[in-house]
Amino acid sequence: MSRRFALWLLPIALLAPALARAQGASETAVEAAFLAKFGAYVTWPGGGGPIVICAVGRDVLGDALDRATAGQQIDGRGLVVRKLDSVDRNSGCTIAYIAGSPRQSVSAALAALRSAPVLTVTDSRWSSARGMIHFQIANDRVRFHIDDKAAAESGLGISSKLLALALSVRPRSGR
Amino acid sequence: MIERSQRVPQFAAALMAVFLLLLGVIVVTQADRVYRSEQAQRADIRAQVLAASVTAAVDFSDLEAAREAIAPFRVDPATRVIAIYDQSGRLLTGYGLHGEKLSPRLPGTAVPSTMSRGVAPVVSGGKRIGTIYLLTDIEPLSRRLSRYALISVLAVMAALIVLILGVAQAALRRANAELQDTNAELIQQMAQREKAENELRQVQKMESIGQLTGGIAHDFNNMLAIVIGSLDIAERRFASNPERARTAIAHALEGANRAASLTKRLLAFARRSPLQPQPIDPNQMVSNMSELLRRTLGEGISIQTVLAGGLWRTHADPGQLENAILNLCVNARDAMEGNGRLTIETLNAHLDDDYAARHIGVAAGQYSAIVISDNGPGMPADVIERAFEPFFTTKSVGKGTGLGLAQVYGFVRQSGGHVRIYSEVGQGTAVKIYLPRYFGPAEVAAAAEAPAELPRGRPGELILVVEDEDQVRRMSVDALQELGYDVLEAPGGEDALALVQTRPDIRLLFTDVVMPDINGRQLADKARTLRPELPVLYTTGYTRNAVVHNGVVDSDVFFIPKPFTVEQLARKMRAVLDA
Repeated sequence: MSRRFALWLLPIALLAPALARAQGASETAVEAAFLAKFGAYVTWPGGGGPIVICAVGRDVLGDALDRATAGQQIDGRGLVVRKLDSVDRNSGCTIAYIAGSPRQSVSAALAALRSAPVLTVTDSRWSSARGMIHFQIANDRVRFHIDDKAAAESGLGISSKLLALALSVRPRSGR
Repeated sequence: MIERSQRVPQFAAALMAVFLLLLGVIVVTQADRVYRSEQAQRADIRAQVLAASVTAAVDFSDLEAAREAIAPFRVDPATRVIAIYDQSGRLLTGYGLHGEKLSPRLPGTAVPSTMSRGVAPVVSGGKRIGTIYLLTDIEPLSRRLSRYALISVLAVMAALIVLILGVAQAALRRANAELQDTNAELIQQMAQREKAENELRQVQKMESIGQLTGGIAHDFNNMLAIVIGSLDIAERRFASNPERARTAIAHALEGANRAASLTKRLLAFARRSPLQPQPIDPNQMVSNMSELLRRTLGEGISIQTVLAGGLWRTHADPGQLENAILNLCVNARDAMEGNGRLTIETLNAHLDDDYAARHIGVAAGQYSAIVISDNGPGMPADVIERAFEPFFTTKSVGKGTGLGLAQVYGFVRQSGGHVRIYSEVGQGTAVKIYLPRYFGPAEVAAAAEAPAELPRGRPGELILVVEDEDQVRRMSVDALQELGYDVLEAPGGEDALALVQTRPDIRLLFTDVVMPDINGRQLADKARTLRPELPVLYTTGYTRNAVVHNGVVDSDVFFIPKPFTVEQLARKMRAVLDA
């Protein structure tokens, strides 16, 4: 609604940039916190080592991600944040938050990471292309869709607990 | 001690009952504790289940999802509080049911006793991100207790049963002890009574012995006075007045004879007289006695005899029976004071079992009876009761010895018979003598006429006299020499046997039966091994010995009872030697 409000009343939004920034800042912080927590509900093939969270493309998260991951561990694994312009399967990412950039669109980034053991996360604010987890603001709250099928193709396992919170789940084949 | 033994089972039972109740309480509380801890565990487990299911919701602050996740637990009516608190203990969301309020901060461990608490951490990625807090009702105490009702009732019942058994046991023991006491007392009383009875019997016995000895001493004294007095006179007048001396000696002899007859009667009463029973026809005996009786009883007494036809014979000593009849007749005369009617009746009598049962010492069977009755003044019952006692007499002093009826009684009893007195004051008296019926051959002895002259010994007839008492032996020897026999004497069995061996001309052995070393019977048997044809004549004053059994002389021996007169000895001696 907030988004629709923002879309419909874009001029107002533009007229009141400070308000919009404040709103966006809050959502960004929540998304950053979520990114820091996904690791607990996802299993990667091989596993081990720190969980590397890559912020790919435009820097929409700012230092919110750094704050959310500071001093955090998930089941003994440290959290590392990297900021990248573009990404490919050798970028060493465990989780990739893809905001897109002129150099590499969200779709391109997703294509580059297809079948790679990387949890791809997209945001409806920046793109309509969906990764395994796709953030969406619903009822003023940050929610997400889950593409379990894509996750399965990449060899990732997503906890049913997380699936239960999703707005929608694209189930993996055979489910 | 009885008190203590009674209390022990009661105490033990009470202890046991308390123990059982205690056991019941312990079991119930234990079960309750287990139940409560189970309830708490269950609450914890539910909290853990909830914690697992809300992890992601809490992690991603999705309170709606969290509420949805915990909503199903509201269905349980026991649930009072379900709440989720964040890692710093602030309430995230939850339900307060049945009036319970949600605490905004995570409550401590204190829980109302009616509820159990479940707490579980919500953990994500190894980090505690919140807490599930659960409060559930546990069953109320009354409901819980009702679940333990069965075991409680069983425990109470067991305790009651044990108590009742203990009390009953104690009561039983008490009753038992009382019974034992009573029994012991009874036994003691019985012993005391028996002792008293024995003492009484002893006193009575001593009394009758006293009466008996007194009577004997009195009568003997009288007779001895006559004998001694007369002998004294005889001695003094022997030279001066031989005629007077002879008279005195005759008196002395008479006194001695009366003494002899007294002992004879005493023996008769004691059933110790040596009887020589023969088959007797009582009718014949009564007939034969009628002349004697008429003379003895005097003019004033009319005698009537009623003799039964076909009367059974009996078996008794004829002399003693005559004596008994005479005694009864004399008694009757004395009772009638010389004037009256005397009836002698004979009859057959059958004493049945019923009669025998009612009279001590009577055997049921057939008897021939002799009844002597008079129309005198009769006797009261207490006199009848004592009539057969020796020396009991209603006659004045000097008139009678009190031995007459006692002699009759002794003789009849010894002959296997029975004697009864029937009497009523003013009506007269009847005495019935029952003598057992005799079934043997009918050789009724005819009373042998005694020859007038004394039979004497023939020249060369040598008699061996064996007697341990010197004076008696002296008397026997004198008497036999007087009768013209040659005599050898021996004081005992051994001397006698030696004589038998050395003197084959001994014609007869005359021996006492009761002697200290060997008795007369044994002596005779030994003598007969030397001289099988040697005749033996026994004599004795006793009746229970080797020759006389139960007062009856063996039929195959010759016997003369002590004391005997020269005449009796002369006849017996002749009879044996001529046999």
